[in-house]
Amino acid sequence: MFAQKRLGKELSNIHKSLPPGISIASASDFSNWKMDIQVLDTNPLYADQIYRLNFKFSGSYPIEAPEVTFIKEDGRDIPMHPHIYSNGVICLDLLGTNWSPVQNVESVCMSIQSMLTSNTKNERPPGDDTFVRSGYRSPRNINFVYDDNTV
Amino acid sequence: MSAEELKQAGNKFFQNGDWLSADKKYSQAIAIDSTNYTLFTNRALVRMKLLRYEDVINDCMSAINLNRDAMKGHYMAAQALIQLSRPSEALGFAYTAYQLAIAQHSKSATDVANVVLEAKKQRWKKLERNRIDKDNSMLNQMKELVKRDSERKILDLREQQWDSPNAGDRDLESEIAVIREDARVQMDELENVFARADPQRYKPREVPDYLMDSISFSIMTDPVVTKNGHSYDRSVIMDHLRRSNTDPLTREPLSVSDLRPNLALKQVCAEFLEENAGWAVDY
Repeated sequence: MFAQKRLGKELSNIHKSLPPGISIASASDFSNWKMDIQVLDTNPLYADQIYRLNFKFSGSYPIEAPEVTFIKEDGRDIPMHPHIYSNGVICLDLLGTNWSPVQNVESVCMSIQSMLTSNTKNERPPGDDTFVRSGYRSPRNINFVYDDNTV
Repeated sequence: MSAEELKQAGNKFFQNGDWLSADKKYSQAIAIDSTNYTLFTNRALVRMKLLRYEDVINDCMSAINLNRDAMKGHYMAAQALIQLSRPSEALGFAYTAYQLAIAQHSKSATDVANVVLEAKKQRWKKLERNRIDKDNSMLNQMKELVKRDSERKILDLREQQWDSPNAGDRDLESEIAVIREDARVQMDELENVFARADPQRYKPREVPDYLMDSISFSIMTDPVVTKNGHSYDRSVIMDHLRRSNTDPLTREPLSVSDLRPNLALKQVCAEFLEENAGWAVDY
């Protein structure tokens, strides 16, 4: 397949330029990258915070979506959001049913960045406790209900 | 044992990585039944592992003679020919394999497309090497002419000296040095001219975005256009459609039967590859 070639190109593009608020934390192989994102406007929920995203690519990337979660690392926390569970799992249709192979690491970061930017609710998704206790790490195993399009 | 049983035995050896025993079993099977083309493609695969490329080609030819649509026969023949540095022949087989892979909805279509590119790249490298050799030989010839001319002038000077040893006090050595210096300048100038005649080598090596498939980020070899006018490489968009029947950009429903070949773009990509395959394939 073409996963490695494609990721190699993405990486060289990313090294050339990235949108403000997005930076690369580590990308030493073609299976796991870490990206740092921050919200640039004055949203009090996320002011002066940097969050870390973990990207896991399968050999079928980009036909298959990458697994993207927030991780606690280097003092980075999991951002508060009604679509982000406290274990870092993100409920975003783009990463599941609505994935398209023309998306890329940069566009995913931008989508998540804007998902934070536009949020005003200081809360976790309903059922966060049970979800986190159930130990799901992979967003792929969950059938999210994308019921709330306002956030 | 029947041919089928021998084939199964061969497959088992193959799975265990025992190429030699697998080769033996397939050969025994072929001795019994020489009309089953899969026996030949299986043996070709084993012989590929054994690096016996000439034999791979022979087996592939047998398979193709038995079944013209034996995709694997064309595919492996192309791979073996690449190994033997015969890219033009490889390209012929690779093209056929690619068409068959697409027609048969084979999952290996992307791999076959890569073999097409590999053959193109190898052929380009061969042509490029010939071209450079030719350029260089022309340059060397002209430099040789300049050199001979200067040597002839020096010889003339020395002969004049012999004919009339007392013709004033000409500084022979410094005159010879001037001739040599002139020749050196002329040769430098020649090299400059040749370098300038080939600006291609100094151009930035980038594939334009419009020739790139926006999923695989590689240059397209068989572009097809979707309903919204966006083009993708056929094997790549088929990979995507196997997973989801949607247009990657608009998410509207899209199926294989909606795809149309983009012939003009295909021509442009082919021409670009013809001129730049050496690096564009890996770009």
